[in-house]
Amino acid sequence: MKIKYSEAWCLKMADLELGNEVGAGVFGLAQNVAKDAEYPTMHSSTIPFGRFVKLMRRNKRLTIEKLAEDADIDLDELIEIEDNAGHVPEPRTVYQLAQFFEVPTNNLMQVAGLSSTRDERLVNESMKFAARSDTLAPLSPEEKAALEAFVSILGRK
Amino acid sequence: MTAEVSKAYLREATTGLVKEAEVWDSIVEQHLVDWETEWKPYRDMILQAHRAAGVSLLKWPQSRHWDWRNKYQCVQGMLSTPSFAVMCSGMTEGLMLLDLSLHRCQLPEQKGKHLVYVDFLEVAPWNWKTSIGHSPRYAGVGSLLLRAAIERSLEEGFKGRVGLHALPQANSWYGKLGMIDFGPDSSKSNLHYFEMPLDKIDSFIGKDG
Amino acid sequence: MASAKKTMTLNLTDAEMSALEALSDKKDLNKTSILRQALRLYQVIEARLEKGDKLYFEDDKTKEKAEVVML
Repeated sequence: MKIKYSEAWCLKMADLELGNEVGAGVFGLAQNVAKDAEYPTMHSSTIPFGRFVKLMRRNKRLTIEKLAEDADIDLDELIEIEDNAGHVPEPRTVYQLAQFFEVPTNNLMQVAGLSSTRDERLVNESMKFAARSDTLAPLSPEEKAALEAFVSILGRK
Repeated sequence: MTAEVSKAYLREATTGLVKEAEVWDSIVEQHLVDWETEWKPYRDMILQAHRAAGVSLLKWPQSRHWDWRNKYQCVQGMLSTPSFAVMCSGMTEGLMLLDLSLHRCQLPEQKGKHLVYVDFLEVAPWNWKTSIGHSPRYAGVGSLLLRAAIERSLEEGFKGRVGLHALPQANSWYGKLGMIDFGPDSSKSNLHYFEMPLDKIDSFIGKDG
Repeated sequence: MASAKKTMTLNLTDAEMSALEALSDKKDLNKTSILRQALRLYQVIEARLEKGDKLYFEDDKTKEKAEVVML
């Protein structure tokens, strides 16, 4: 199809558009996220984040589907978070999970590798937590204790 | 399949000069090659600059996940998903995919009517306005593409009706154009849905001067 | 794509023509636009079914889903 753009219209709009972002469309679709291997990350591992989400979910006796629904996040991404250690979650997803699990967003962002601030203590505690928690077994008293201890650390400012 | 090309103009942001541009009524292989060989490396450079500067991920360019080749391959040959591209000096400057079938108007005065839904609209990363580490090259690419969506809507008998989900950094732009902001849409990653009322369509395409 | 158009004659029964006219009124589109839209939808549905997707209608109140069986 032929469109008649006048020079005056184009320049009027260009000057109006100057300094504005114009992108539209749903971004971060699962199919693209999975392919985005070159995506630069700020962390070495998101294992503690995945473990944390999985244990919190099991502790609340929620299925993956139910958590995705209740926290209003994509099911595909939740599965990636729990089972793919290399997956970098979307900021919005981490935000929603922080709200849902009632932990500070900033700290959870850091555990998820989405923050440029780096609190060494939180990093160490995250790795300890990941080492202590076994995601395959049913939630044992030890896991529960590990989870609760980690939640209390996350909750401290 | 050959694309039809319309002549248009862009403003070179750095010099203020007027540049001749082309609006293609179909994405072709050349555009995808530009995306792969020019857009992606530039985009990665911008992302590296954001990383080096310690910018919070929330403020990073929000179309960083998009894969145009993948998207295009999914919809190639489908009548309901026409595509457009903007070129300037032999380089692809913007890409857009539309959907003519699966969305209906939300505005009360045109509720349920057909519209052209802008499925994806992106400009080349060197035209991104809010990214650090570079000065944006051209202004006007987004307007040429939105105009093409409206013209397609007119051609289909949809009276110029268009709707889209804006990236958060683009909310203010679509608001400025007089599109109605329906707020965050929980079914679309909480992006805001915008729809253009009929009177704004005329003023956007310049019918009323 | 270039928008050179081809013309065809369409033979419709009275019932088909009145259905087309009713849709044309309801959707505020001319008959050609209605048929173009119908063709696009048909193509989308066919492509999705070929991929193995299923087509459902959901009752807005009961949320009951009924698969539309397409042959």
